[in-house]
Amino acid sequence: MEQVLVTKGLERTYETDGIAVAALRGIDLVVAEGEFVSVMGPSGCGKSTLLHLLGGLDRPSAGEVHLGGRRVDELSETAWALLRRRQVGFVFQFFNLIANLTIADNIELPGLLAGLSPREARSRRRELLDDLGIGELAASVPSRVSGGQQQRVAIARALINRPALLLADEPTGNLDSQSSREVLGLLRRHHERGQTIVLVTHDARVASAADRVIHMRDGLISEETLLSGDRDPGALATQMLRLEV
Amino acid sequence: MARLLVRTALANLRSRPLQTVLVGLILAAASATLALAVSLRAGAADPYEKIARATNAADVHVVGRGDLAALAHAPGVKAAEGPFRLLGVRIRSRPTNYDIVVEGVGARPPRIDRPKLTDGRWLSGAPGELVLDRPTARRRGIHVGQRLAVLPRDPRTALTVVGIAVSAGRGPSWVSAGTLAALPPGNDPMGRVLELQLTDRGASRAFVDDVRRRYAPEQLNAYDWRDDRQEVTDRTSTSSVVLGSASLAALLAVGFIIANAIGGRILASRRDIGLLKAAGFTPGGVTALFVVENLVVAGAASLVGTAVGIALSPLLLEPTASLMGTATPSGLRAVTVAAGVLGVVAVVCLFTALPAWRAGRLGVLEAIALGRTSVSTKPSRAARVAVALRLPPAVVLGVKDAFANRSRAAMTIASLALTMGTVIMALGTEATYRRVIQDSSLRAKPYELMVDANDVSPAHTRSLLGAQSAKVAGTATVVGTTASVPGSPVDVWARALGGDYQRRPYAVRDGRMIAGPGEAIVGRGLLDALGLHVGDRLPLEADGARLDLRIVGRYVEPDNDGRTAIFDRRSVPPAALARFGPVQYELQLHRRSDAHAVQAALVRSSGGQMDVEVTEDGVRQERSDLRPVVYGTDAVLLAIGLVNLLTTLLLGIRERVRDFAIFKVVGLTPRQVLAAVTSGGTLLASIAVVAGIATGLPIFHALVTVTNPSDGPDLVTAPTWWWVVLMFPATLVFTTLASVLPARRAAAIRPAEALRYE
Repeated sequence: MEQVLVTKGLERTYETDGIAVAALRGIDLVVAEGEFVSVMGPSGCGKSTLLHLLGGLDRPSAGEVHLGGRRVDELSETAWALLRRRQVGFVFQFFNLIANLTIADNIELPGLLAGLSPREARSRRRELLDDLGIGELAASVPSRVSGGQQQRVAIARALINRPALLLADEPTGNLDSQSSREVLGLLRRHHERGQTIVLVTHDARVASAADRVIHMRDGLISEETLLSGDRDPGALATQMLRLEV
Repeated sequence: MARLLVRTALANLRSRPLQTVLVGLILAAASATLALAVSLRAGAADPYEKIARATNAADVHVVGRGDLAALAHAPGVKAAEGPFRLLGVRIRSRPTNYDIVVEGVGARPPRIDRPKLTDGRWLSGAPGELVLDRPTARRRGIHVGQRLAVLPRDPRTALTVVGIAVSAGRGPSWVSAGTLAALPPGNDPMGRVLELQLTDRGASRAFVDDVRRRYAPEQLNAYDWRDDRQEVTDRTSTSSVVLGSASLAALLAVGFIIANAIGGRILASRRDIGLLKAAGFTPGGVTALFVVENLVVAGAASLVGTAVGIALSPLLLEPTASLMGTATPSGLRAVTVAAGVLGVVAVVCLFTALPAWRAGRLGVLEAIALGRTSVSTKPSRAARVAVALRLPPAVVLGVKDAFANRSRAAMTIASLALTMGTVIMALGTEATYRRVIQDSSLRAKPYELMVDANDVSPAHTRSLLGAQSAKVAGTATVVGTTASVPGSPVDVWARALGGDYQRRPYAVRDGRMIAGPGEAIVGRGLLDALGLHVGDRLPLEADGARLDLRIVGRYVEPDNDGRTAIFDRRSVPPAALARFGPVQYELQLHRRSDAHAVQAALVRSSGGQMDVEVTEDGVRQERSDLRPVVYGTDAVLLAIGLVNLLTTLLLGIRERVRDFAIFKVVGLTPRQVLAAVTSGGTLLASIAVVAGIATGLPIFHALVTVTNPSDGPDLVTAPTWWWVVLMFPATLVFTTLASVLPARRAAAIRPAEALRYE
């Protein structure tokens, strides 16, 4: 399988009041095309920082990031923006939909930025919303729909350009259990269609939706677990929690 | 509790240094503008009262050769000063001579009608010193130290200007009694003037009527402070309205700017308000906290801003006072400081307390949620249009964002529209002056030069004018007098025309120009005062003659409130015509002739005896008088408008840091973020330009009509269309300048940081 994402010795150090705090201390990671990888760990272990570096939202202090075989950690901000349009989709814990755009506009925006014609963007948006079961919400504004629906819209927005990589940062962290199950089911469905996903979570149940779980602690990868086809969430979660302890 | 509030407020301010500085700057700018506007308003309001207070003005002036001393002790007189000798003096000048009236006074300035020096010093008692009245100094461009040659020419009687002063009277200049005695006897002896203050100022009219009843006009005449006030008001009415409306616009703009900056800041802090309530603050405590927080900034900023405003005020006050003929008021006055500091603090309190109180009443969870959605979620019509026009997505986003907070967008548009309205008015003023300069008939002067022959004989005058015939297309003669209408108190300024007056007709708006004897054209003011119409008969009594004229037209007349009548000299019996004033000559030049060259030639050939005025010079002077004030006000309002736009954009960005981070996450490049912010600002400014044009034109029309009821409606001219069109690209440039900082801040937002703390 082709490697979609490779990091080598990735480090990120923050300076606060002259004190250096290492958030990442050398991450080596390879994600193959079509793979679903969960990054799991306690709060402050550096998992969100890792996701931001993978998507070009932040710059590493050291190390390399390769996306689709191309080194991208040295790209300019503009080059990263252009790259993200086509190759990287983001989903956040707090949905982060634009409040004053309709749901349809929120989804179509990245498509239009990537150069889709308005007709094509509209067609893809309809397809995605229907697939997500919220086609009737297109004209609503985000504040009028539930958290679960907002997260589905966020996923649609992330997928409209059919990116090579979908990065999800605690996508169920702000949802009730029913909505969390629906969102995870959605991500799995897209993964089964070939979507490469890297998901960050501190929830073992959520992490168990992936093919592989990377455990982080203190800015380092502490453990990797390959999950079998057995998808009993309870058993997997127990396995995850054992590893965490 | 108070201590806790202050400590928390200071901590809040320290935690957002840039925002604090920005709001401080905005409030300082508002204070400075307020101080300037108040100064301007104070400088423009009631100019007569200002002069009267500064000069201990007389209630009644009695002038003439009769027994003035007796009047000094007349019943009702509280104090008297004088009498002082008056003399009309002709000053030699280029391009043309002019007359001034000098009053011979003592070594100390008079107590009543005491001239208020605006430049230089008072008379020392040395011979040949002159304190010149300020309107003459301004009109003639004379400064302290200049020597004025008195005609007939005699080197011993040159006058040196040692001071410039204003007075409430009819603007004599002042020399010592000794200097006056040494002036050439050929000048016009006007008698003496007695200045009186009455125990009851309101009785001045009765006092004047009594003097007029008891004395013949050539013996003694009197006029009172109401005449002075009328003269000052007439001289300054246009400037008063221009300055008054400019300062009002500035005050409104200050209101917008504070409401925008502070109200927006509170709206953007709703989330913080929710968190404070969660920490135990009561709704009242939250309101008090924000009031204290903003008052700390407002207090400091308003002190700085007021000081800056006072320091800048001479830039506006000096031209204003010069324009009004008043003494330059000091910018550092209690009312200015109070307005700059207390005004801003009060408005800040209001615009802080109201939204903070409303926000404080929200539930904690609601407030926290609203902290992220205080923007409008209604679809914007402008954004729909932008989509339909297939504009780039970044521009569409900017257009949509411009209305994210509708009330703030509305205030910004209103503030900018106010600025654009005043710019339109300035352009309209320019266009009107340009039109009047190009077409002198609109000033009731359908000629290029007006010649007063003075002592030059009619035959010699005709020969001198004949020498210029190659440049002169036609010459009309005019004699004028004050006429009355039988049975009416209305006085009419009557002018009898002869010669080539048909060549270049007056600007007749209703009816037609006179074609011969028995016909008259009149100003709007006369028709209104007498309730007459074109076609009616106009009986006049002038210098003992009864004239029976028929009104055949109404013409544009700016002088004497339009209470004027023009007719053919053959309408007047020759004996009466001889009693009309001296003949003046109106020269109509060929198109390419240079009026100033002909003026110089006539003055030279008459040995300086003729007074020759170029018609357009007066209008040009008036225009250049008004220009600094009009453009200065425009500049202040433009600066306010831009600061308001800057505030709107910056607050919008602060409020929506997360949204801008998401824009970048989904692929907006920094350049596209710049484009989005700039296009939002441009849209607001473009709407403001349209609104400013739509409101500015009718307001300008109304202002001109109000200030010049007799000729304003005929003169008012809309700005040249291409100037109006040019406002759009000019706005684009200014908007881009105002958007640079906010746009750069938006482009510099780091998504990883903005989205980290969720």
